[in-house]
Amino acid sequence: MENLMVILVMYSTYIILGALISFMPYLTRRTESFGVSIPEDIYYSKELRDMRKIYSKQAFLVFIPLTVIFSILSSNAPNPDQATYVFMSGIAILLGALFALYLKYYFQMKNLKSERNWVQDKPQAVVVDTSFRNKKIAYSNLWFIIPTFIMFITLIMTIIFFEQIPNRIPIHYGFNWEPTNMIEKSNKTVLWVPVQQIFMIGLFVFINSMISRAKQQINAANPEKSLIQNQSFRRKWSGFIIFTGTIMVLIFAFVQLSLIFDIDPKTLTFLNLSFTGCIVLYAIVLSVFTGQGGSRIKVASGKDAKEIDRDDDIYWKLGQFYFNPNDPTIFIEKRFGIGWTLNFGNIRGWLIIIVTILLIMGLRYLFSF
Amino acid sequence: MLEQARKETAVIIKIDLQSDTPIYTQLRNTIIEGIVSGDLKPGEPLPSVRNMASDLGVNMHTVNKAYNLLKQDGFIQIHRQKGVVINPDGMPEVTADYLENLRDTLRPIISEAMCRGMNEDDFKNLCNEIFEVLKGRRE
Repeated sequence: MENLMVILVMYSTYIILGALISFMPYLTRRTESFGVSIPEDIYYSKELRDMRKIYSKQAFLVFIPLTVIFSILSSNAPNPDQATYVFMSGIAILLGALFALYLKYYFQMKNLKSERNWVQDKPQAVVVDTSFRNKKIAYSNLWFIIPTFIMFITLIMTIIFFEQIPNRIPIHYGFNWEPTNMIEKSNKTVLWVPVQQIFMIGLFVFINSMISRAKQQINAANPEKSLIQNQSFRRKWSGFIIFTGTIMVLIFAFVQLSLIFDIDPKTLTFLNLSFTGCIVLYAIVLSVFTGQGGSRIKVASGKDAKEIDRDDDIYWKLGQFYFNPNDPTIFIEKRFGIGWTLNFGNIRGWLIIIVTILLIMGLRYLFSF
Repeated sequence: MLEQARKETAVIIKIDLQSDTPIYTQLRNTIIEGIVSGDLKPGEPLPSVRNMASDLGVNMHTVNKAYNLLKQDGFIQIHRQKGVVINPDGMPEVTADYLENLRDTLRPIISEAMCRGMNEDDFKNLCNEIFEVLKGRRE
């Protein structure tokens, strides 16, 4: 019975991920369709409405059977490690299959666009608000004082109650927060949790700063409306980042404190799962209500201009990977998704990925496991 | 739920990507027009070269070129720390050099107008109209 619960919780990730990708065409900007840029009015045409509907149906037909198959495989796995392995490979297969489906629609859309001459007869413009970055686009990084405070409490408690920590401490957890890997207690290993907390705070501060720095993307067809939507979008997601960062640091604090104090593992699992649940729910609600770039946020409509956004499809490889060496942009809004992606044509973007990976590897090496 | 427009003014720059006018010229012209209309006030910051280039999705050289032209003519100042600002000490005056330049720029334009049979009054009226529009935006 308990096993079944674990499987259910684990595989709810498949459902959430699958449903989000299935409904993605409804969450993107209205100037994009399956990774192809289009004039906004075309988005509402019957042809494209039907296309979105069929895509969503097919995506459900892909991810629901996969979820069923992999959850059965997982529940029949001989041990938890194997179950996790099945789970992870299942995610890769799920994402791969949904990407393949997306590609089919991407190429279909691309052909449609060149057949219909939607953009040829419209003037293209790019619109920039010079005061954009002087405004408060994201919430202040000072909010991260709260998780930093939690980290310090964790650290101080660890030092004070060092003796009370058991001789073998868990260093890796499974999905239901059951320890899967134990390590000898030492001056160094007890610091693993606070170090991870510091790393996380740094990462979230970085993401929050990225939100205010990412490329300004204002819809040329209605700059005023799009400007307000975009500011609101960034602020809302900045709030989410601060919330998530704080909760994650808090979860780690609970995990560490459970070594010192006698906390029932079931209570801990329940607490951590509900916290994680809150984060996921928050992300879903925001995705649905804001839409990519704030496209679903209702604002008093400004003046409609005759221009449309620049057609930069050539820089979007497969409609999803931005590669433009001429553009000094590092972070840019995703085309088919919620949030931001990198300009892969910019060396600084690659440096960020490499530094992050090196940092994670370095930390793991330092704690030698 | 309607989001209210924020109080801060938005100074919007629009670049036409199919125009024959190069992007750096368009950028220079829109900034000067922003100053004339009062949207861009003396001392007001402009985005850094990197941010402007990123937002426009163009090469940094393009923005550099526009900014350097504006700086040479005295419309903006580029500081190491403060960044790029609209010249707080006021705008450049009408100099002999400028008049010379203006004359050279207008000459082919007027020639073409005459070639097409446009009369002097119509041309002057057009100029007046543009003056009025720009003055109107200032209010």
